[in-house]
Amino acid sequence: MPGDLASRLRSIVRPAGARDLTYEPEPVRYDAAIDLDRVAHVLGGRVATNAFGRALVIDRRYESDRRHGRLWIGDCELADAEPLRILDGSLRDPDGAGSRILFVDLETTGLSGGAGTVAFLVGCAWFDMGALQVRQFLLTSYAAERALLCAAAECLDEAALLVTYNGKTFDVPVMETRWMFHRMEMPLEGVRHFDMLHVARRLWRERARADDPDGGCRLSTLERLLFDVRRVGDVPGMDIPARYFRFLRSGDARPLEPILEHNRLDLMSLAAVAAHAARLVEQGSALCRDAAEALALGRVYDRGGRATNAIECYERAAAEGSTEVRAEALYRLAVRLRRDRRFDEAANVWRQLLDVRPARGRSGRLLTELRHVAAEALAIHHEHRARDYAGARELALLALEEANNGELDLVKVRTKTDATRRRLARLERKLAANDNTHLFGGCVEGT
Amino acid sequence: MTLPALPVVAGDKDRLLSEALDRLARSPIPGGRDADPIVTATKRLPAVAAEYGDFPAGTDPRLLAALAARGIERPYTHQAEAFAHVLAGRHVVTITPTASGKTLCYNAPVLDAILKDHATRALYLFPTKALAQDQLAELHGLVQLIAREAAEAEGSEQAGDPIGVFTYDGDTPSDARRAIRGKAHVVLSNPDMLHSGILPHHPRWAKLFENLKFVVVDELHAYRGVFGSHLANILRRLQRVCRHYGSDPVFICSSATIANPRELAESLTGRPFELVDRSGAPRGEKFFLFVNPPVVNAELGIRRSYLSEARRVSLEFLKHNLQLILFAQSRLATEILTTYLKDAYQGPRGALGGADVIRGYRGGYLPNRRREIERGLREGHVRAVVSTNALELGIDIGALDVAVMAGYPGTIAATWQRAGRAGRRTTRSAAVLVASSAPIDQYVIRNPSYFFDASPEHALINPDNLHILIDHVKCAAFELPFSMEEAFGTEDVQQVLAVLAEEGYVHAADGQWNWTHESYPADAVSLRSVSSDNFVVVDITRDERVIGETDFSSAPATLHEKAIYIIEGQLYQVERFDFDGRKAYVREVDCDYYTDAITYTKVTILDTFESEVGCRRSEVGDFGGDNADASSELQPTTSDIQPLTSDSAKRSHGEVHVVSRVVGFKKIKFYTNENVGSGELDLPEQQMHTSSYWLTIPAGVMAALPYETDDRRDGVIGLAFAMRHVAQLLLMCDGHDIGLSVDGGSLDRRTRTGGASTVPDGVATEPNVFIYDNYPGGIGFSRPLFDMHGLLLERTRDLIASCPCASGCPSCVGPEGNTGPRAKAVASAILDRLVAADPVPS
Repeated sequence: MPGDLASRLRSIVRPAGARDLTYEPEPVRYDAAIDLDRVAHVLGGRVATNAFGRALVIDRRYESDRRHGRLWIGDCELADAEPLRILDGSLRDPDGAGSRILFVDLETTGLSGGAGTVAFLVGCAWFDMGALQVRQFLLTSYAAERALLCAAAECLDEAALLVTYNGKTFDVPVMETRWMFHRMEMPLEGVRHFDMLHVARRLWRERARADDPDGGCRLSTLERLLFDVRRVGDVPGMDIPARYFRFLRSGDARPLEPILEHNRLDLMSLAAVAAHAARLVEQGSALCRDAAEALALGRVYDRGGRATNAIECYERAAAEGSTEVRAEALYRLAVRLRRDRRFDEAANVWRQLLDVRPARGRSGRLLTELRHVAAEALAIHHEHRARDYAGARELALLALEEANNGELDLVKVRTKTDATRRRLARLERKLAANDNTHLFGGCVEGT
Repeated sequence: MTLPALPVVAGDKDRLLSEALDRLARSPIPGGRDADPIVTATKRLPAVAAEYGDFPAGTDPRLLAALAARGIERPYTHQAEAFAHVLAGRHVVTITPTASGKTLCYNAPVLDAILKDHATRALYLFPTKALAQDQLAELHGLVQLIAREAAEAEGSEQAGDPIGVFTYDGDTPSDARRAIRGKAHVVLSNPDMLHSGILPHHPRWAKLFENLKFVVVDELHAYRGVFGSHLANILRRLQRVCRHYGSDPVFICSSATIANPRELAESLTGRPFELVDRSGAPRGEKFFLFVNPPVVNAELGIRRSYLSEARRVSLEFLKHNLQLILFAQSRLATEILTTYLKDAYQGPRGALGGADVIRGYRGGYLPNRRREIERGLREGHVRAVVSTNALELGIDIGALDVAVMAGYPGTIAATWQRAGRAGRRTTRSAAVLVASSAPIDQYVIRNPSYFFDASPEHALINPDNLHILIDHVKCAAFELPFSMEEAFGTEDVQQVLAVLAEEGYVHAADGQWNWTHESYPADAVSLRSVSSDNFVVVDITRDERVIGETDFSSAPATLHEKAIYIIEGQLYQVERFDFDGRKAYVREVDCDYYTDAITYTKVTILDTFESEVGCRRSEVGDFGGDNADASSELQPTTSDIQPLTSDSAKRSHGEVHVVSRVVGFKKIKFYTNENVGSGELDLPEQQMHTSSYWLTIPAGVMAALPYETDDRRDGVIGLAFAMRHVAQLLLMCDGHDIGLSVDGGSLDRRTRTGGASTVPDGVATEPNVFIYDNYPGGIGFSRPLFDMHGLLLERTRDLIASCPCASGCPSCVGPEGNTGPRAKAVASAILDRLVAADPVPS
């Protein structure tokens, strides 16, 4: 490693060979001074001054008659938070000073979190007289972060309810870190928080996965599937940090405009998705586009303690669904009915489940599991409620058969079948006691 | 209070111990010769009485009461001294033997400060998670006592706010983390967690950092080499973050006996330290025995297995009903010895049955099992534990009667640590070292004064190794922007940042360097291995499952195709080595051999920092330049220096370029170590720039040797083999911390057929023996080796000369089959002339 320090350092930092640049190399020195007023002009924003300095604020207003995919912006407004409480049972009663339902989405310099991950764009949106008002706070230099946080806090303080997409895991912890970094008081303390991602997963995970197997339940996937939103010239999320770093180096704010637009579209879609989910729970199975959505909505109702709505959804899903959807709907329906102590109706549904056969050419693994559960449940029903021991014995034998069919894991089969075998043995005893003239010796295996 | 039975039991134990020691010292040598004694040294360390000091005036009465309840009325002198330093705001490092109450040196001042100011926070760092757990239990007990004493003193139920003590490491559940950040007065963690889990998230730890008064670094001696160099940078980052929050903590360190504790503490923290090195703790009489397994084949220099010998020694003590700990060098050896002892030990007549009184202990056991074993040892029903170094550090297992070490632990410091596991404060104890046939073991066992009289090793670190430094500058920039005037270590950090800016990691604006990168830099740094780019080992015997990992640099040598990979006694053979995918696919096998890779290493000198012949020293400037690695024949340094006498060796240190490639492997049979086959390999070469020490053997010495070329070459290789081990001994480093290479030359080259060698063919007129730092950029071993050159040669000569083998064995110049029939004679001849030409002043 001969040579001066700089070249030794370069040989370590920049290993030989090709490598991916995180920014485009530029010949000029990166000491461009960033002119805040000029940036504000380029991006159509204004400069707000507070005790910590000057911050860039960009306002946009989308009137209710503006299109977002096949929706009107006016359709995206949530009247109140009540439906959200069915979607998320942990949402507390409203309290506190704020009045707005505030949608928040950050753009950051990385995804890892920690002191070095900076929220360079804080995007907020709320409905005002039917129009969506978007307010964005852009960080134009790291040194101006306190001014930005102070300006953003003013807006965040208006919130009665915070709505985000993955905000519980990402946006809020990042915000907490930024405010704590600067020893400033964190806004949103104690404000209710509805994280749309978790609900979206419950409702549309399968549909999103069918569309994009690796995409999880991304907002950009949902907006396209649900509302036919097609973005043109959108910045891919992974390119955003590099684009921002380039702005810091060059002072040229024009490449930031697509990021601002990306953030605004995300906020619009967040509002749209939340409103759509709220409408679904308000209107029930009738609004569902298909049996799969009805099943998902049924599950959401079930969690939220809305038994009647849940049953209605399950019934629709069972009636209209494909084999898998029908089987799961019947299963959940039976469990729901049993929990409500409607045993005969539940038994009826278990029987329907036993009649479901796998579609041709499909693996019936899940179905076999459900059939096993159904046979078990029915055996219990026949033994303890109907007191039909012979029928119960038949069902227990069926349960054994299904367990062995479906499961490859011997340990799991063993745990499942052990209970059934015990049941069989007990049934044999009961049958023998009921009818002493018959002998069943030796017909029960494994006891 | 006096129990009449106790003295009798104690006396009985002392008698039993004496008996066992007598029998060992007099035991006949099975098949051995009188000239080669089994017990090479017996040392008696007399009992030492306690010396007490006083707690500083004004120590919180609740703390004093709690300590009194523990039976501590007065502190030992070293505890009192450390306490006083901390109270005065001075950083302090304490060296004390095992079981001398070192934890009180930091727990007392920390708890005292918390009791006086409830906002006070402290951070404890331990090298392992297990140690933190152990200390948590200890501290918890003390805190509860304090709460009880406080409640009694105030005559009320309420004891004030409780003192929060928590571990925070990779095992801490994520839902508990938030609570810990708020409530913990004392956070017990490790460097890895501080590096990747705490510092990068410092805003969440604001309360800790604002009030951080104390940083405790326990087991300081564990932080040497690469690990220590990383820690030094982590502590630089910690202190930056503290400055941001306006705190300036006092460092309290404790260390086992090493030569340079204060220097180590100062280079780890960059702060001036007070040293407390006189222990006031009492110690019972201790006997130290050195045992060398007898030679069973004098021709090949093969000794009886040291594991069998360790078993024999251990059983002697067990028969005398003495509780013991047996240290093994590896996990595998631990399991083997556990089996041996379980098989052989029936227990004393009528006493506990054989089954659970012998236990194994190593990393990889589940925490519950470990706790159970530790408890069994303290309570006494576990009679013997066989352990890796996992029990060397301060886990509380009570004090045992005997410590047996199967193999030299590698350093004087570690040997004393392990020996310290035996020994109560008043009764007799014993430590026995059983040597393996490794050169280091043989050197130590045959030169007891090296161990008993010499100072222990220096712990060396090089925090400004550029590779390490750059990684931590990135982490530091992620944590807080660097100002344009800020310093970080001794290198010019502004220049480092400028280069990082060229690559887009940081950006200078508004008078500071900001982190402008998407990555989380701490994730890319691994503190405990050379590179975070690891190879994983995938077992494909049944399903595919990952069974282990290996660091980047040793992967080619251990995971090449057909290599035998061993984990927990199970043998696997590598079926496919996917270098690019960083994976090795292995399958279970049952075979009676293991494999040893043959690595071809070429070292090219790039820059000589210092060079000296005899007593004349000359600073040599750059000569290598950018084209330095063009030729392996490059040896331009000699021409302008006239040696004083022709036999004086030249020593140098500087920067080198190392290219190494695994070219083949040998199959070695277990137990007999016979070479039973070989294979050739074609793997990519690895390159690095690092620092090196090298010895140049003068042409005159080489020319005067009355041997053939082949023999001379063998002699140089044998000399290098022995020298490397002595260097390791002198440097207090692990075997893989340093590398070895011998250069060939254009002269005397002759063709060898078949196989491959660690050195090129032929022998140079002036061969160089390189001992280089096996880490890119170097870790600071070269300069010390350069300074110890005379000692290195003398010790190497002694090692070879005192080895009883006929013509080379694994304990000196390497097995004869590897190095040739005259290697030992030639190596001795060379070393005799070199040492005679430049005797080490005594």
